[in-house]
Amino acid sequence: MAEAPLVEAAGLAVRYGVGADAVTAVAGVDLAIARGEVLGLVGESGCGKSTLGRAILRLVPVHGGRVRFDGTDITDLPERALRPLRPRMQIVFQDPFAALNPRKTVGQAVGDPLHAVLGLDRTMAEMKVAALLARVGLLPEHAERLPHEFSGGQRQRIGIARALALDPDFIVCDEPVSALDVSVRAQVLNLLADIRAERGLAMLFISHDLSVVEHIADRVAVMYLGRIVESGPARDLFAGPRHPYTRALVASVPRIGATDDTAVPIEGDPPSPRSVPAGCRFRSRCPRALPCCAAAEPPLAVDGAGRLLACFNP
Amino acid sequence: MTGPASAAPLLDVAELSIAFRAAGRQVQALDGVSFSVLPGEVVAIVGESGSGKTVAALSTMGLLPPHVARIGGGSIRFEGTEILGAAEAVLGRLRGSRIGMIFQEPMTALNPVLTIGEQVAEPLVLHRGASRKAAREQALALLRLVRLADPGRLLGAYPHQLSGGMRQRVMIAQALACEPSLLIADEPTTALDVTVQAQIMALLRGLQQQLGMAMVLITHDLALVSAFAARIVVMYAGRVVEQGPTARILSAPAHPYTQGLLAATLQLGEGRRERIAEIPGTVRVVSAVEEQCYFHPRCPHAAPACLAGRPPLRPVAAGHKAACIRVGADHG
Repeated sequence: MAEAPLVEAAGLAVRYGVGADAVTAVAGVDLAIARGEVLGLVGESGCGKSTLGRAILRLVPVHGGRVRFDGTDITDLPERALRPLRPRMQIVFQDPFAALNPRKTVGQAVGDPLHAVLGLDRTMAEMKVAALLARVGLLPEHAERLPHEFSGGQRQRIGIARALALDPDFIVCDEPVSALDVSVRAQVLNLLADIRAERGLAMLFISHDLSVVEHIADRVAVMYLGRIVESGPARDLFAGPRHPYTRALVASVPRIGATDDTAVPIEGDPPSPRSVPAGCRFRSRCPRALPCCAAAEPPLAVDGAGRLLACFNP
Repeated sequence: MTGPASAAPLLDVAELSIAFRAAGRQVQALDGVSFSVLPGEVVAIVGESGSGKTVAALSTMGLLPPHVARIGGGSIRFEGTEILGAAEAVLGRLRGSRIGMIFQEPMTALNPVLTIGEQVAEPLVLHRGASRKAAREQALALLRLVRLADPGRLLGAYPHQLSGGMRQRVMIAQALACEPSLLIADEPTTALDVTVQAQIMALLRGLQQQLGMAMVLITHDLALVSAFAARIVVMYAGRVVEQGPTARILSAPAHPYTQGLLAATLQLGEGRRERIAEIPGTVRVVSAVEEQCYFHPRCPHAAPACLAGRPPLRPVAAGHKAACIRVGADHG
C-alpha cells in the first residue's frame, strides 16, 4: 500500500484498574486502516474489541503504544489539540438510546455539533439536520421528536445521522446492529454500506457476528484476550481460517441447512482477562497446543499464504 | 426424534388469545395461536421482538402475571390436563416436574444467595420429597449430566462465581432434575458467545435424545434451529403465520414474512452480498385484534384482499401451513 494508512495503532495497550485489580484489556495491538477501508474486528465478550475501538478514538486512556490518525500521533495529544481532529473520527454505539439525551429532540441531538463545532447558524443547521435525517431514511418532522418515540432501528438511524453530521473520515461502529431484529438489521447494514460507498468512509466495524462482518468488512482482525490472533481479507479469512481460535469461531456459527448440531468445535469459556495464560493466550482452550506454546507468546507474523497469524502450530 | 404421527400431542395449544394491559396501554400479545408438540418432538417457535413467542411459552407454564394478562380465549392442554385457569397447586406440580424451563439469562433465574447444590436439588426436595442427602447425590449426578467439570466443588459455589456458559448448564440441570417430559428453552443461547452457544446446543440435543423429552425452542435465529428442530412455528405480531417441517420452512417458505426473514439472514461463507434483501418498516405492536393481515404494511405482495380479514392458516403441503391469502389461491 503506497498511501499511508488513515488510522494506525502500534503496540496499543489499555489497562483498567490499578495494582492487583488491574486488567489488561488490550495487550499490544498493531493495526492499520486505509482511507475508505472497512476493518472488521471480531471476538467474544471480554476480548477487548470495544476497548480497542474506544482507545483508537482516545475515548479511554492509552497505557502503551501509539495511535496515529491521518499522519498525526494522537497518543499523548492534550484534549485541546485533539479537538480539531475529533469531528473527523466518530462512533456509532450498539444502543444509541443510551448515547442520546432523553430530553433533547432528535434535531438537537444531530444538530448540536453543527452549532458547537462548525458554528453554523440556526437555519443552516436545521437544513443540514433535515438532509442528514433524509439520508438515513427518517422524515424532517422526526427532528421535533424525542428519542423514546422511536423504534430500535430508527434510533440507530439517528445514531448514524449524528455520527455523520461533521463529515467524518472514520467511524468506529461498535456492534451497531446487534440489538436489532433481523428484518431491521438488513436495513441498517444496507444504509451503512451505502453511506460508506458515497463518502469513502473508513470504518472499524466491531461485532461478535461473523456473518455481518463478512458482509461489510474488507479485512478482518480476530481478537482473543486482548491480542489480535489472525487477520486477513474478509472472504479469505472466513473461507479458510488458519488460527485454531478462528477455526473454532467459524465452525461454531449456526448455518441454515446444517443437519448436525452435535459438533462442539471448542470446549470451555473464554478465560477472564484477569487470568491470562502464560505463553499463547489461547493455549488453555486450544486443541493443537504444544509444549512450546506455554513457553512464549507467538508473534503476529505473515504466514506463507500472506495471512497475519499468531500461532506456533496452525 | 419425532413420535409416531398418530400419537396424541404432549402439548396442545389451541386458539390462544392473550392481551396485556399495563400503564394504560393494551397489547394483543397472542391472537388465536395454535400449535402442538408430540412426545419427544423438538419444535422451534421463531419470531422477532413483539412476535409473542415468549408469551406463548410463559402461558404454557402458567407464568403470566394475572393482574396484567387477560386471557381472551383458547386452551392449553398438557398431557391431557387443561392448564389455562388451572389452580396454582396444579400448575406448581407441573412446573419443574413435568415441564422444565430455561431462560436467556440464567443470572436472573438463579438465586444469587443460594449455592448451586441447593438450587439444583430444590425441585427434587419440592416435587419428589427427596431427603437432603439423596437430593445432594442427585444434584451431583445432574451436574455431571450437563458436563460441568468438578461438580463436587460446584455444589458449594454461588452463581456469580460461574461463567455465563456454566450458569446456563446449571439452569439446565435444575430444569431436568425431575425428568420433565417437556423442556421449554426461551432464547437459551442469545446471551452467550458463539463458541459457548455451540456447546450448549450440542448439550441440549444430547440430553433431549438421551432423555427422550420434547422441547420447545424459542428463538429469533432461523439458523440456530436448522439442525435442531423437527418443526418450526413462525410468529409475527402475536399470530402464527406459518408452520411446518424445518426443512420445508427453510427451503420453501410460503409466507412472505418467512421468505423475507430468510432472505435477510446473512450466512457465513457466502461472501459480500451486493445488497441484503430488506423487509421495510418495523415490527408492529397490535393493540387490539384487527380484521386484516398484520404483515401487509411490510409485505411485497400486499393486495386489497389483505385488508378483508385475518388470513387463517391454510395447508401448503403435508404438515405445512401458512396464513396468507396467496396460499391455496389460484395464482394462475
